[in-house]
Amino acid sequence: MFVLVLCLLVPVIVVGLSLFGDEPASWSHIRSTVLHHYLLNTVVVVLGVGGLTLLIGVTCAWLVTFYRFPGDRIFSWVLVVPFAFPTYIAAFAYAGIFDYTGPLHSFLRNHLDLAPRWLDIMNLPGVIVIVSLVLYPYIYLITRASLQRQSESILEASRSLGRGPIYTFFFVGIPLARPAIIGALTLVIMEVLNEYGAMHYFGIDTFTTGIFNIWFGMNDTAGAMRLAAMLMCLVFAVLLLERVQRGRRRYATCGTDYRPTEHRRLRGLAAVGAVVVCLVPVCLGFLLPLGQLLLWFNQSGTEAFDGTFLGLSIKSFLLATIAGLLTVIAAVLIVYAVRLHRTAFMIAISKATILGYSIPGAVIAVGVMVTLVHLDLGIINSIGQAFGASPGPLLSGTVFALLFAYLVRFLAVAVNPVESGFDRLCGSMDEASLSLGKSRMYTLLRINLPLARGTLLAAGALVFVDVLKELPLTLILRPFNFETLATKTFELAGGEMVAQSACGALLIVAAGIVPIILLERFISASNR
Amino acid sequence: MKRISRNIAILCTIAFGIAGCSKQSDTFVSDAPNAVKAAGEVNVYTHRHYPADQALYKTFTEKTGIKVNVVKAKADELIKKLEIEGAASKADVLITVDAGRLVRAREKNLLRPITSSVLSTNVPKHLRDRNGHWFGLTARARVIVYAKDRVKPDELSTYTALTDAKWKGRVLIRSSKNVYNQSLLAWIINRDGASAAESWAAGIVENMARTPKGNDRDQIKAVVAGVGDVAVVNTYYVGLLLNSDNPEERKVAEQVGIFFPNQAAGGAHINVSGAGVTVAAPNRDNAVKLLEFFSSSEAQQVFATSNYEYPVLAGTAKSPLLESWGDFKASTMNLTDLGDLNTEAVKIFDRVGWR
Repeated sequence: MFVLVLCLLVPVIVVGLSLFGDEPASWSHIRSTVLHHYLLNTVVVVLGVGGLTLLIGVTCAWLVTFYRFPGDRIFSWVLVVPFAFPTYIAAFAYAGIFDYTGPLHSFLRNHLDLAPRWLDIMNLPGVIVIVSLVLYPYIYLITRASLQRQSESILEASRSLGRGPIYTFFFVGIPLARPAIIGALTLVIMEVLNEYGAMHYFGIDTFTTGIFNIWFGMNDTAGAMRLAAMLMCLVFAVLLLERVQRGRRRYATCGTDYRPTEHRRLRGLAAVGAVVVCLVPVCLGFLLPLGQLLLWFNQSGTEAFDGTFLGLSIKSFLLATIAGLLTVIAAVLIVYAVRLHRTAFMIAISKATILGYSIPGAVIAVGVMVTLVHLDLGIINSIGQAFGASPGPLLSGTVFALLFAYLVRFLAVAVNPVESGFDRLCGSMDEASLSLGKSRMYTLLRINLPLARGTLLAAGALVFVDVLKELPLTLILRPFNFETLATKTFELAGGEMVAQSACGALLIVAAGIVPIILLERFISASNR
Repeated sequence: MKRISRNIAILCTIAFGIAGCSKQSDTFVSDAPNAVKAAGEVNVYTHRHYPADQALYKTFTEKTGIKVNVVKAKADELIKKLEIEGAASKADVLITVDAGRLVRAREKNLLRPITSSVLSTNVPKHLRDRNGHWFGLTARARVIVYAKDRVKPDELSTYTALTDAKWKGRVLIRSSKNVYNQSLLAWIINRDGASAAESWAAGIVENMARTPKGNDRDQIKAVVAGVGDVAVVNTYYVGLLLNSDNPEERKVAEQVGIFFPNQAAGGAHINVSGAGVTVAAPNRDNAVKLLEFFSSSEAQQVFATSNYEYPVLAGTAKSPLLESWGDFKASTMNLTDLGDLNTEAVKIFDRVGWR
């Protein structure tokens, strides 16, 4: 267990170590010229996306969990679908819609003789809206899984004390779902922090832009690592702060009065309102960018679509499935260890393992490469001594390197939902099992896991889709000639041929939707 | 625990399976396995991701029997990868989309000098490293495009002239994070000195029609949309727009003219996409063969027609489109001399507030 955590921490530590040592040459330059600008933009984007995703995600989760309105069953899974869009593809699609040669402006110009130049999306508010539209499913999915396990009796108590639905929502339901919501929000914020493609294209300079400006522009990898390490420290501090603030409060549902939540039927205007609220994120986050991709696909024809795409899809699927399973297993082990030994040290360690998600993929790739090359050298040396022959690098440049990197990067995506799932499990069940002489492993496998299976599946699905969409790590660490759907799409999108990449983008989205929907159904079923 | 370890073991087996499959399924040539065995392979790290390159690798394998294995990522990431891998690296060739990155790789001692009469004949002197550490394969010209209805070509002259007050609020150019802009400024630093370069950059920022965003294509579209009147872009983007599948994009490209700057002042700024052989290269001879093939008229022809880049080999037939833009005088400053002025360029950009 400890060894596992240590292995996963090494790449993060490699990046963290860059904090020590001499001040990089470019650092004083950055600090005196552009750092305040990067920081301001980062704060604005984080607050904007955080707020907007919370608003959309929590509201929709609340509506579909507790109310009946036309289409509520369909919405319950359709609302997850925008998650299948990689952020950079959604950004490109939106830029395409609002482009001078895109459908919107072409129509206005050619048919209405209008040229509204203010109709532009490539700005700070634009990026906040687009990123929020594809990231809110994190909050929606995890919050809903948590809300579904809330006991009707608690909400009933609130209502019987004369509190209306709004009060119950804000002061009973939401506080109870807090660990889940905070966990999901953490993921959203980390994803915003590490986003490069969309920000770069839209010309929004954030902290991540700064990291690449130092690395690519000023040829100072050490400086870039240092900046990334600072970002990590900041995230770490915030994570610990939240944990301290949560204090010793527990969010478990104990006792025997658990009853599944009841659905109230909405009628008239309220029903229409609920439908609109759920429809907007689905249309803007999925249908609209999908339409643009289809338009491109139609324009560029199927020239980019050849027989290799089937093989690519299968390989990407397998890779994402394995990465998803491994990551959930690792997350369960870490979370369970913290549950057993709730010491400050264990909590800090568990928070540290998820930091890989807060920094750009290219930076964590460097950490992974350094780790694996050293491991390789160790293996080569020991085998060389034993047999007098060198086997060459065994780990770096293989699928294992890639899987290890996914594990390091996406652990956060699995740990957060798993943690919130376990937080809701009553501790006395563990104690009952242990006092009956069952082992800890038995308790985990037979008591905790079955009870938390909804959140485990949610975690697996999130990692699966994230791996499917992942680009920078895969590009750098993949073996020779190794292509996934994401790298193939990127290749076609390179040379600024975005339209030609529509085919690959559509496949990624399609490949993501199927498991999202299946797992969503499964999660709902297992919670009923 | 047993169960978990067993599951992990199963997963590992599957992972091995994928690794094995990927090795078999992704070869570029599967119809000549014997030839491949005899001739070996060459491993390429490349920043270029054009379908035309893929076709060229295939042709190379058909001609020589040498299998080409590729990893595509950004040049700086690949350079870092080479650095970390050190002597254990399997890569033989590094291909980038600008000379600055090749100079960086050489300064980090990641490239080895190559003596090849083919390469030194085919690649002009100013487009390759003096000691053969790297060779330019295609050239890209950074030019001015203008709105045909608002700007007369005789109003334009040099990059520096774009800082005149008459262009205030009319100049479009992408972000300073872009390597083509960084190379342009590095070129100006090398020619005129750092302080002149800084006032040039400040002058451009002063005249910008908007805060930089989007790519070169977006700058061209913004010219036609009337956001600004002139844009600084690489020529081949105009070519790509002219041949776009979207009729609206073709219309845009027809409304702009191309102006080659600095024709009376040393020539327009060009940069190369080029390649070098790595120090650790396990297949050094094959690597040289690949570079020589890239400089051959056959490959140069493909570069010039499929991606609208300028061939480096003199006498290569240009595509009708490149022909229609006419001949121009290109700067003959040796790209090696840019050294790592890129760093200086980025600092200037940051100081003058070029986002």
